[in-house]
Amino acid sequence: MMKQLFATAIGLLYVSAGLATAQDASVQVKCGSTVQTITSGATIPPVPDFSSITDGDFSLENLQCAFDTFSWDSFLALNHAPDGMFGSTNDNATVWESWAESSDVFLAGGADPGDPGQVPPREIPAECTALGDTAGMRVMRQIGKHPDLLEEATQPFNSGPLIDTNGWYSRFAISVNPPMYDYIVENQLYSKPGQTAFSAAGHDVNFTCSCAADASGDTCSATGQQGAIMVKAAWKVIDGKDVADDFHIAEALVYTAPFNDNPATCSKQQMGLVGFHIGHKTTSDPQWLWSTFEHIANVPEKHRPQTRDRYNYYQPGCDDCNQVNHPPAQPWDPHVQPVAANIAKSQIVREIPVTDATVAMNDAVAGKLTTGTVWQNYHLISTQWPTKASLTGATVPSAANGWCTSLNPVDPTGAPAPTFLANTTLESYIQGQVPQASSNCISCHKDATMTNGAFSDFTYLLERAQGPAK
Amino acid sequence: MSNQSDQIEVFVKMSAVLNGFAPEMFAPSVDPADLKTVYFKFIIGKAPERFHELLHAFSEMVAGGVSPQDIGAMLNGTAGGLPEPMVNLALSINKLWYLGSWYDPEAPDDPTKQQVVSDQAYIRGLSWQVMQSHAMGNSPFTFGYWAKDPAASLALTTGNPAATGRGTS
Repeated sequence: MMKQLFATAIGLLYVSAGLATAQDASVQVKCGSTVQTITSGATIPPVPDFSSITDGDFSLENLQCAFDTFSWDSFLALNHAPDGMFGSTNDNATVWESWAESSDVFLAGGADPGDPGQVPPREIPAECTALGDTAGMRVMRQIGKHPDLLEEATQPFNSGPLIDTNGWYSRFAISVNPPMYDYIVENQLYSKPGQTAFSAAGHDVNFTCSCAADASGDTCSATGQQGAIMVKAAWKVIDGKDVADDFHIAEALVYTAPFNDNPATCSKQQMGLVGFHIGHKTTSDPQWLWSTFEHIANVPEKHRPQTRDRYNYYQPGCDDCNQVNHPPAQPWDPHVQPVAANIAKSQIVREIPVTDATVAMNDAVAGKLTTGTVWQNYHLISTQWPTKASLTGATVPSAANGWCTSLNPVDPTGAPAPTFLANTTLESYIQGQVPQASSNCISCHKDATMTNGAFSDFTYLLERAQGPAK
Repeated sequence: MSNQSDQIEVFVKMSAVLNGFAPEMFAPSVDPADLKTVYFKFIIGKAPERFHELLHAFSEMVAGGVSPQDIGAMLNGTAGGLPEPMVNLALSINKLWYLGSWYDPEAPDDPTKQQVVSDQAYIRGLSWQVMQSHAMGNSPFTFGYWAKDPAASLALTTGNPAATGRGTS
């Protein structure tokens, strides 16, 4: 049945030995005055392609279309399996889940996570290994050593945990691709002493950027290169009326750190992907490109009719629910879950609607490229990009190592478009359009630093470096 | 004048004469904030007839071959040629670009008649760029910028090669 669905839906289909691989299937959709071609392939696009703008109209709308296509192409490639399969059994393993996670890189005591070019070993807490066979399982961590510390279990600005309609705390994890991992390791940025030495030597953090193959060599090498990419994922526990087949699933070790008087715990849980950020540094976008996706059943939109009986983070017609888009009331204790009271759960609505152009693009993808797979249940919210990345055009990667940056000195944020962008699972409580208060990927990440206060090139990950125990 | 986009184009050209910035710096072709349209509509709402008269007068001066310097002198009242209410409107428009606030042309010194147009207008006021600074609470610069020299010359900040900050006289 699944093969039939694929054969019907996807033009260029390869079926072999019970495995389905969509090889560069594509769909076209009108967007602005352009026709966008979205491709489901295994190659992560190095840069956006503006060849769709054939009438010379490089308007905000048309450029947004090209960036959104870049986002979809990236999402589809990242969610191919490392061996190139896609949706072979409804769901599939993914490329980005084979990357190093932040907890693999920034180790206790600032320990060396492992050589560049390698995937670092994964440290599994003792509470999880005690559960038996944990081979290949991901660890999804909870709140860190400080009770209210910003960690992967909470959201930006300590704005609060995300608790789904079943009462479970959502989990978050950040992964980095091999070029980003290599840069961190080669420069010993995984530790506080390493960061201090790096700055003392006069270096600024400057991750590798992606660029397309260019035979002329004036913007990149003839073969192109993949630069730094980071993925931030949000997960929910599959429970209650959740249908596992509707989600990309990870069988995970859900670890909850010691909290208050409770010791650390770990349990095996079936987790469903609900939010997905991609940050990608390219030669033309040293502020990085920020693509964000969500599960389609997360939340309703403020200015569109509610179309579902139930959502992952919103209960329709609920009289005793928490105030919309406000964090659940404290105390937050992840050792006591699922929470029962509706007032203690998140009640989230999307503030800024997905544009009609992006909706049409999402429909086109779901109608052809992801039909019959779990991926049809994910939609693009938007892509944030710098409209004026630099004053001098694209940056030129160093011939020696591919590092590149050339921020606009007048406005290092590059005047992002759209000005505000939020994922309801990752910036649930800071949606809106208030400068410095509402979610804006680039403007927020431009404040990121290492542990010594030096600019860290739009990633907060380097703040996680630790030093030797005192 | 014909449609709104044509009028906005004239408004941008006139604004460039007033504020001394290159149009690409305050009204870029790809502009997520789109203050030129926000301001155009705002001024239309405040003084529609006089605004149209001002734009028309500007277009006539351009068509007549008057230099930008001379047009600027007439618009800001240092040279004659325009009625005082029109000059006051031009000065209010210039303040709008620099401060993000509207000063009533009929009572520019009355603080009760001043209005911040929007949060985006406030944080994007050109005065911040001239100072190579930023609105309080909203910096576009990367962390630690205060420990370094300003990255941009005034000519770079304004997009105007002639901008030196030392005046023209």
